[in-house]
Amino acid sequence: MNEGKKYKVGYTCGVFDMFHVGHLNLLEKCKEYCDILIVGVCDDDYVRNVKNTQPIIDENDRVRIIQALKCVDRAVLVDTETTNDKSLALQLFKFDVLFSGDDWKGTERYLKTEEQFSKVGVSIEYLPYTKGISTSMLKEKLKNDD
Amino acid sequence: MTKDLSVGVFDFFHNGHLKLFECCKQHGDYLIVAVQKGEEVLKNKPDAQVLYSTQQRIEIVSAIKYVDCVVEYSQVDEDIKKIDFDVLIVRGNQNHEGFNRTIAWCEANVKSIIKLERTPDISSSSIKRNLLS
Repeated sequence: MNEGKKYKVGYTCGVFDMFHVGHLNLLEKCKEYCDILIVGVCDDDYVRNVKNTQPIIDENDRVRIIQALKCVDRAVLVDTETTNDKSLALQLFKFDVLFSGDDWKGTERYLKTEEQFSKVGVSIEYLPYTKGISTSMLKEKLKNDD
Repeated sequence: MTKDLSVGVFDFFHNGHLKLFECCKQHGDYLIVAVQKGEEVLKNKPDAQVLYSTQQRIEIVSAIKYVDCVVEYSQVDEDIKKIDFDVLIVRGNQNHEGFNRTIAWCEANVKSIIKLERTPDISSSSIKRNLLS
C-alpha cells in the first residue's frame, strides 16, 4: 500500500463502452488518489433506459475489461438505482471518496450527494474528462472513415 | 522463466485481446506484447481502419494486468529478432507472408511457437461493423 495517497478506498462508475485511453486516463487518475479503487460498471439496462443508446460491448465484457486493468482493484456491475443514487453505492462499497466528472459539479443531484456524504465523512473529487476522446467521437470517426 | 511474445495491432481493445493475453499468461511467466506502428499496419492490410494512434494502443495494452512489457514494432519478421523471448504466440489469422518468415526464423532459432485459434465472434473489425449498422 502506498502511504502517500489521500484516501484508502475510492469509487467511481461509468459505462466504459468501447474502452479507450480517455477512460484509462480517468481511472489511473482516480487510482492516484486511493489505495483501493472500486469501479462500478453501469449495466446494459442503464445504457438503454437512461442514456437511450444501445451498448456496443455488453455489460459482462465491459466488466471483464475494467477488472483486467492494473489500476483497478475491483470492478462490479451496478444497476440504474445504484448509478443514480450514490448513497446506495456508498452502502454497498463503503468507500472514502467518490470520483465524478467535473461536469457534475454544482448540479442539484451532486449538491445533495455532497450534503449526505459530508455527514458521514465521505469526500467527492471532481476530475476533468480527457479532452478530445469520447465514445461518441469514435463512432463519428468510424462513420466518416467508412 | 518463460517469456511469451504476442504481436499485433490491438486497435479497439476488446475481450478477444483480453482472452488472448490470459491464454498467453497460462503458457508463460512473463508476457511481452509487441504493438505494430500505425503507419506499418497498412503495408500488410491496405484496407485496415486503425482508430487509435500507436501511443494510445500501447497505453491501453500496458494497462492490462497480464502484460509485463510492451514494445512497438514495424514489420514482425525483422523486428522479432531484436526481442528477447522464448515462445511466440501466433493467432489463427496471423498467416501472411511476414508471419511465415517469422515462424521460420523462430524454428531456426530454437524459439517455441504456440498457435491459438481466434476467439470466435469477437474482433475489432466486427465491433466496427456493429457500430456502423
